[in-house]
Amino acid sequence: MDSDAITVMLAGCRRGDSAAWDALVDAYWQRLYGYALRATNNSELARDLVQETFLRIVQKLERYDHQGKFEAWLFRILVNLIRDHGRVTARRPVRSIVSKDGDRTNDITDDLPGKSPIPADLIQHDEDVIRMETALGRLSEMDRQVLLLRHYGDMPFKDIARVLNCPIGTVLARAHRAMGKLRMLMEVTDEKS
Amino acid sequence: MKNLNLSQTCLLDVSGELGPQAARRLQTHVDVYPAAHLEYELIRSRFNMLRSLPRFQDNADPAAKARVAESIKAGIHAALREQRRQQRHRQWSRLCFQALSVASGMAACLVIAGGIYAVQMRTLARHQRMLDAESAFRDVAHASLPNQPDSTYAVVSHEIAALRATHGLAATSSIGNIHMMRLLQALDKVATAAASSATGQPSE
Repeated sequence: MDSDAITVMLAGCRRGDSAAWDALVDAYWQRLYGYALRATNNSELARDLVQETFLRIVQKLERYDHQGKFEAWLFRILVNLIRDHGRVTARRPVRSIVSKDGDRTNDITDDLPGKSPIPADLIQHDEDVIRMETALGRLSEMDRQVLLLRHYGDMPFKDIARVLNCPIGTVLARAHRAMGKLRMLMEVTDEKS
Repeated sequence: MKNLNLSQTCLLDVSGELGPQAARRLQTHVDVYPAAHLEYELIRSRFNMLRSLPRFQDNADPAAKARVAESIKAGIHAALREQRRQQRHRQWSRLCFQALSVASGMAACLVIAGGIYAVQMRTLARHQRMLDAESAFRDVAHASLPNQPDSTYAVVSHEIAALRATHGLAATSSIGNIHMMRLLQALDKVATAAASSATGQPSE
C-alpha cells in the first residue's frame, strides 16, 4: 500500500470513520496475525495481541505523524506487545508438575509459546514444515525475530531495521546468520532421522 | 544504503529489495567471480527455504480468516464506540462547565451592579438632604436675619459651589474633605453672626 493511500486511510480513521478503520484492519491484520501466530504459536493469543495493536493505534492515532513509516510503527507496537507478554509469562510462578496423588496434571511448560497448537484451518502442517518450524524455534530470539518479520510479517529489511531500531546492515547480518543456522539445524535433524 | 558486504547485498537482491542499478552491478560481479556466484546461490537457496514455510495469509482457510478478522474488527469497533462515548462525555462536561461559568459570572455582575446602584442611590439621597438643608438655611437666614451681610452668604454659596464642582456628589459626604471643612466653618460664622444679631451683641 502506497504512502498516499495510507495517508487517506489514516485521515478517515482520525475522523472516526468506521469504514476507514475496517479498511485499515483489512490492509494489515493478516500480516500482523501471521507474524504474531508464529511468534507466539498460539492462535488466540495472536488474535488478542493483534487486536491490542489496533487498539493502541486507536488511542495514539491523534498524536501520530505519518511520514511513510506506518507499517514499521504498527509492527513495532506488536513486537513490543509480544515481548511484554513474554516477560509477564516468564515472571509467573512455576507450578508443580506432579500432583499429590502422583498424576501429572499441570505442566510448567503449558504457558510457554508453542504449547497451544495452531488449528489446522489456520496453517497447513506437514512433516517438512514442522521440522523447519522446530528448527526456527531453536534460533536465538533476535535471529528468529528478523526471519519471522521478513517472512510472516512480509516486511522489507529496511522496515525491519526501523521496527527493531537498528541499522539495516545489522538486520541483514542477523538474517544471513539465522538462515545459515536454520539450514544447519535442518541438516542435523535429517541426519538424526 | 552503503557499507553492505557481498552476503548482505545478495540477501537484499534475492529478497527483491535491491534497486535495479545495484542489482545489475551485483550480477556483473557474481558472473565474474565464482566464489561470489557460489555465495549468491547459497543465499538464494536459504532464502527460498525460508520462503517455503506456509504463511497464514497465503494458506489459511477463508472461513477461518473471516472469523479472525471479524473478531479483531469487533474489538476495534467496541473501542471506537467507547472512545466516542468518552468524547461526548468530555464535550458535555465542558459545556456544563462553561454554562456554569457564564451563569456565575452573570450573577456576580448583577450583584456588583446592584451594589453600585445602591451606593449611588445613598449618595444621591445624602446630596439631596444637603441641598434641602442648604435651602432651608438660606430661607431662614433671609427671612429672619435681614441685617446679615451678603458677603457671608456669598462665602457659603461659593464653598458649596466649589465642593460640587471639584469632587462631585460622593465627596459631599466626606467630612475630611477640605471644601467641606471650609463650608462648615463658613456656616459656623453665619450661625454666630445670626446669634449675635438676635441678642444685640456684635459678632466676633
